[in-house]
Amino acid sequence: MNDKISPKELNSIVILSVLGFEILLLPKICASFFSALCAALFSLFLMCIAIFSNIDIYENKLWQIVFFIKNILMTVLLTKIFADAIHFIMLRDMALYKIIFIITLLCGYCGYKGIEPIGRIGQIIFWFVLAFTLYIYIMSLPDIKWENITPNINGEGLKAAIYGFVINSGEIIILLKNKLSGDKIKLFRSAVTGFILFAFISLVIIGKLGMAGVYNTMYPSFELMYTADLPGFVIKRQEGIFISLWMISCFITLFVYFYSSNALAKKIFIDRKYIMLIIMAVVFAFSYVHISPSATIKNYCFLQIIGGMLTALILPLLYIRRNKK
Amino acid sequence: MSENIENRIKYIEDKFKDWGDIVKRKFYIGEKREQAVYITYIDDMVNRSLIEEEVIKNLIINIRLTPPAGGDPNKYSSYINGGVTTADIKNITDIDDAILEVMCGNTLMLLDGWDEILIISTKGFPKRGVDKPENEIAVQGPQEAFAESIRINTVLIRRRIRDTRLKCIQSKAGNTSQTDIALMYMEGIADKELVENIKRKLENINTDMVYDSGYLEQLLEENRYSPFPQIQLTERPDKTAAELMEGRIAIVVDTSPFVILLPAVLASFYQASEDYYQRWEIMSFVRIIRYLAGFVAFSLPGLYIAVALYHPSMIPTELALRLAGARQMVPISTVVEIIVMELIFEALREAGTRIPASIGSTLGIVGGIIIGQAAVDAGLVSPIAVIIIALTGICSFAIPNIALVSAYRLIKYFIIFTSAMAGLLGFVAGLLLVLVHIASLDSFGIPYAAPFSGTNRGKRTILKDTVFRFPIRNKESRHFYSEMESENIER
Repeated sequence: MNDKISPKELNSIVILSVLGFEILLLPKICASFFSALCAALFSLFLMCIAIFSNIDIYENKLWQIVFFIKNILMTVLLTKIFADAIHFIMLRDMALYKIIFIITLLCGYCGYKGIEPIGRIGQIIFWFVLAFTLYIYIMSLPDIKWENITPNINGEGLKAAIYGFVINSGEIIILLKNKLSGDKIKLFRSAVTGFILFAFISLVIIGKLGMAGVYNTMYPSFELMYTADLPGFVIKRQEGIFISLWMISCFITLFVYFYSSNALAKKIFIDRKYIMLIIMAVVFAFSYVHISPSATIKNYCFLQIIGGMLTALILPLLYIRRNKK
Repeated sequence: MSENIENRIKYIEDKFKDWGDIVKRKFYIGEKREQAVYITYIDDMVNRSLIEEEVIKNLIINIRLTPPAGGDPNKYSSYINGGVTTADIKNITDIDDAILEVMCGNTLMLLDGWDEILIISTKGFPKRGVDKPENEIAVQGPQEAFAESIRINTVLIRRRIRDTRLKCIQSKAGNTSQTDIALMYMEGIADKELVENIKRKLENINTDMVYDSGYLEQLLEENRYSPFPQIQLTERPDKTAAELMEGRIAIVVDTSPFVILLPAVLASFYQASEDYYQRWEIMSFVRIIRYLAGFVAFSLPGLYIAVALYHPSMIPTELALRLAGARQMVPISTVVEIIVMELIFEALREAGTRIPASIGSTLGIVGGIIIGQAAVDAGLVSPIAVIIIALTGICSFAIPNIALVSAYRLIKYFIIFTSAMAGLLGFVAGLLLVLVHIASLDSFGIPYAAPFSGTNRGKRTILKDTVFRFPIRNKESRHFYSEMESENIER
């Protein structure tokens, strides 16, 4: 293990993050398809900045602290959002703390193992997740009501563009860039693929459910999975497969946040094995704070507007300028 | 040691005290019987006729009749050249090394006044010949398997690769057993650093006994706590030869009919030598079946528990009703039912391995009819549980490597546990945990999950000889392992 990640592996991780948390959150947050498209475009812009910026967050003490604080908060909120979604969709009878405990345990272990296994897992499962997810969305294409796709970018659309910061793919690139063993230009492929995927998925979700349907559902992407009219040639009720694959994508994103929190904590504090245990305890404790799922998403968006602006846009931009000088 | 023969004989005989099977003889040779000679060997570990015809008879009779020509100024060399007419001899000075050679089946010869010791290669152990493979059975292809003799095994490999680049470095392992081992590799194909690394590892092994290649496998493995085999054992010489040509290294262990192949990646455990002897279409299909069977072998019981306990709404309604009906009379929970059935199956499998072949069919009747059918009729288990367990068992037999099957057997219980704890979340978490473990494993520098991950190779190259078996003429990479090693170094 040399704690390095290849461009192929990082591309897989970035695209899986699009298929995980982003399709869970963005169609709901964005006001219309065109707003979602704006958000996706903004995400593409962020990813390009992340690729071409030379920022190394692990070298500068100040950035270490800034990114560590942001990372820990992100990890807590993403864990909570993920646990809420699982609780809501699949395990309503199970206590939330048990779900959070399982997520924290798994992500902590994987984060502790290093970035190389995470990258390898991403590469192994990438085609399974992509193929099955695309399958469900492609099969839902005939159900799109085109009147739902209104050319509407108003105040809500603008808001959605701001919420575009919730797209954390750009941030993932920044967090893992210095672990890359290969040409960073190769990451451009994942940025474009991520953008296309997100635009396509938003089109299907909003086109099928309509904005009213999206507003009335807690997690529109799952609503689509449940209502998709899939040919039952394998088994009937196939949504279990898709939900399992979606969970895997979300786990991959969380693995990255746990890993980078651990790596940053080791740089800032002390390079000890138990650091991850402390991070896990913190994430578990704070994720269990009782906040409603929608309030968690709001807090997450707020953090991304403030923190995301800094960590995924301003700081990387500064380093692009510095290079030009 | 003193060159006085009496002292040395005493030392040797002290070492071999109470050895009923040792043969020793002191006699005199030369025209006037002036030269004392001492010979010792272990009875039946040597080729007796060779010693008697080519050594003792020559020394006692022939040398006397026709003394060696006087060209050689050293009389001891004259005796050896004239009296020992076998090619494989060596001189050593350390008497303890000489005693070790006797224990390996060689003959020790002392000449009075000569400070060296002559070792004559006379190995002739009772040994099993080349038999059919018992574990890696192939319908088509060679029907030869390795035997317990290191020499038979190296010859079986050499017969298939007639190339001077095939190197064979011999050494010993085990402080007490002093087992012969041979490191074989293709020079110019196998990674040099890897060869050196393995040589070092073999030299540094500190154990008393190496009875089998399984011992050595465990001593060489880098992650000893992993249930996954990181080194492959094979009983097929054709497979070994093919793997050597791919850049792998083989370790042949005396007294073991299994040869160690390393490095090993997960995909290599799904490959059988027969895959390359039949048409690529059918073998590609078989490979896909193996991968699916492998997944089912460790995941099906856990998935069933997750769905039946936590997400019955995910099952189609008719099936859910049928399942509920079948489970109505069962007095135990689904988890206990599955675990108990799995344990019974494990017991049956273990019994099947140990039971004499003549009564093997009885086990099938007892296991299949009495336990399976009777338990369902009595309402102790549901028919679906029997189907799940049977399917899991059948799928595990579709994997061509027993070490991987054993790993999956253990993992299956872990997945059952996680699924029982948290349904599909537990199932996915369990699978991911296993995947993380696999992804973090390396086998001598090569990612264990390669070529599926940990490599920059294209998808086509990955698919050509893993999940599929493309036509042999399309095979781009002939030296997969050595290329992976260099890729890893570059990284």
